[in-house]
Amino acid sequence: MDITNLKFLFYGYSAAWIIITAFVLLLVSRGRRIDRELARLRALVENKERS
Amino acid sequence: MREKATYLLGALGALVMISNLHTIFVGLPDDALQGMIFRIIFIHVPADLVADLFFTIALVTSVLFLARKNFIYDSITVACIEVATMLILVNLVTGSIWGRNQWGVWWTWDLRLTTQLMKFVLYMSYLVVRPAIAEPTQKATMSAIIAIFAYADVPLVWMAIRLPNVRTNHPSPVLGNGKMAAVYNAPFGMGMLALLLIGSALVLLRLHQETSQREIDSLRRELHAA
Repeated sequence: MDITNLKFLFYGYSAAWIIITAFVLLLVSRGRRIDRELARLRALVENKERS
Repeated sequence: MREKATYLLGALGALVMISNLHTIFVGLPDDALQGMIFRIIFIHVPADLVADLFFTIALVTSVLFLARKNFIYDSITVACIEVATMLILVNLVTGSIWGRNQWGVWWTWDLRLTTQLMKFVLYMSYLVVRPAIAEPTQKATMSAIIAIFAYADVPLVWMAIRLPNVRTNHPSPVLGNGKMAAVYNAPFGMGMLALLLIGSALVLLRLHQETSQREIDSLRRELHAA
């Protein structure tokens, strides 16, 4: 078994999964921020309509 | 309902990917020339093909936005481009790692590699320019124009290893011409399916966020106007 080959194969798949996971985490964190902001603005509009 | 479908697609994609990884690493023989590093093809090529599919959808929706001025097309465009650009990064990084092992260099200014890097830079410029424009119609129009312009690079990448009289280090095409051993077809197809499912789930997730962002912008305008 060629260890150099195996090392680079490991680097390749690790890099791919790190990029995909980082992108998913970025999307999830952005989604949470958007949901919080939306809830805050909806509450503000509701309060303004009541008053 | 849409949220459940998104998570279902993502989970299905992850399952297909994990089961395919088992086949790739345990079930396949090493390549006679490259040894075990050839297995990188099962993520390197599908990442580009799935990205190109999303770029093509983005091209169609950009044209539709310019023709109909419906913002849903703009939302689909940005969702597809963001996910596809991430997949191009996967393609570039895995290709570079393969190149370091097989060619002895991380990068070379070969026609195929350069046009692929251009693709990444062009679509990154779309993602960088977009938030800089505040007015929604202007933002969507400018974004659609950049997306159409950037797509010009997609066929260039495809042609880079097919044109006659072009010297390239990149391996010649192996798909659809019988140059790839039949035993690799199934894991390659499964790799495509896995990334397509995961990519589609991410596009749907991003599309949902873009719709919410539009609602946020509209609520902000409503509050400022009051």
